[in-house]
Amino acid sequence: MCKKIILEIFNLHKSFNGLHILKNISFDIHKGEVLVILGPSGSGKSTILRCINGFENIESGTIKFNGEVITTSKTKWELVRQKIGMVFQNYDLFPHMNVFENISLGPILVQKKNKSEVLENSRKLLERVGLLNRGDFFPHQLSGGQKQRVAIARALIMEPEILLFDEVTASLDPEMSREVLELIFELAEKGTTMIIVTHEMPFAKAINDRVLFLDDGEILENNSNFFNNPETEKAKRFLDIFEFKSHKNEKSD
Amino acid sequence: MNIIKVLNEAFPFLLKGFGITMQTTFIALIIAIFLGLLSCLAHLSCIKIFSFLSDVYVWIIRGTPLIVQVFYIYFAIPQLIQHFGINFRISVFTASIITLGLNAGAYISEIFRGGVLAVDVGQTEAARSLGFSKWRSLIRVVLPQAIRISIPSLVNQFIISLKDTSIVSVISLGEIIYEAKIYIGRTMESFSTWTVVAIFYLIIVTILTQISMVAERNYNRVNKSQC
Repeated sequence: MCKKIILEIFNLHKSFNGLHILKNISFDIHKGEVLVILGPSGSGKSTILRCINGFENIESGTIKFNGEVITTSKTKWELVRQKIGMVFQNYDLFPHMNVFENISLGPILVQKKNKSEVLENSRKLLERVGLLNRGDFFPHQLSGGQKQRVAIARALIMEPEILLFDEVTASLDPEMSREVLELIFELAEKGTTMIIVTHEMPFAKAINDRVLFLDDGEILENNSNFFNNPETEKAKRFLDIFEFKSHKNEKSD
Repeated sequence: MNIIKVLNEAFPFLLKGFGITMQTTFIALIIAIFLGLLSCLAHLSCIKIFSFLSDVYVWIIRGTPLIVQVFYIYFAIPQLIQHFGINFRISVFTASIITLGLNAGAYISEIFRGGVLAVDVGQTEAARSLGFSKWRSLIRVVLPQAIRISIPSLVNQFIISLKDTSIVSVISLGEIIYEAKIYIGRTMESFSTWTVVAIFYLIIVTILTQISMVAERNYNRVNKSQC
């Protein structure tokens, strides 16, 4: 791939209370690529996203965003984070603001954009996520799937160069997950650069350009054909968890 | 024991006293809310000296009785200042609102701190992921929710402060207890007078409780969204 590299991570290490959570993590992601991070619980998937967004301190290693090192003590995270959007498992919409306010707060306060322009953008985005008629609603009046779509709109309005999704459907039932996942699919089709941490295997299989398989804080695979051709035993076993053999034939014997 | 007689005779005094009680409480609470918010922000600040000062303030106020505090402000501090040859006097009313304001401020600081702790960390992270600075996410996202959470405890503190005003009668603030004592001294109508005084307090506290309940209901409506 000759496309521009947006994010590069070199030899990242992270410990927490003496536990070595991330070990020598190195990978990069190109513009327009969809990278899916898979692995068992506690393997450090979410921690990688949180390091990229500066929510976790790292012990050693470097993260470069658009060629600039963002892991220095002088990093202006307020600026960097405007370019790196993040969507969380628990939506984390602001409960005291309605949908419009939730979406427009960032561009108005942080990017100092013109109010009417922001309102117009919010409208467009709400239409895109299928919630234009919910603009005046408060978060508690929305379903889980709707909340998560608002959260995605809130990240998108900042016009980030890359979006991080941290298990965004983990607290949703299947139908609601579906509406959120379809939205992420649309984003992928439009060429949005994304890193997705998920446990939804069919979704991961369909959307990924490349899979990072993590186990115990290490990258075991960085594989663009992961689902058809996992290279390691651990990855094969991990994928087997999601397969069920039918017992019907055995019973009829 | 003649309530009708007391109501006729003492009502104007007691009402005047109660007016001073309300006035003192109201001004003191405005100071207290301001101080409490300031102290809470100082406590949360990364600048160590600010959070240290906030902790010392809360420690001293919580660690000493209100009656000592009011004597300290009205008698002890003026004496200390006069000791340096400065002619300094403080009026009873000023000393009262300063004492009650400082006192309630420390408790309100703790109430706000509890409110801030009760707001999910995810809220701060969501705000910061949009590029908010630490302060901006605190002011725009966390504090509005924290204050809402604090409302029931705040109203409780308002009630406590209203009743604490009675302690300030020891420095002869002409509030309701002071007026009642003078009237009883003249007429010996202890039962009737204290009954009227208690009813005055009950009425105001009932109104405050109702306000608290409405605020709580509103808050709970919002709170459901957090699950």
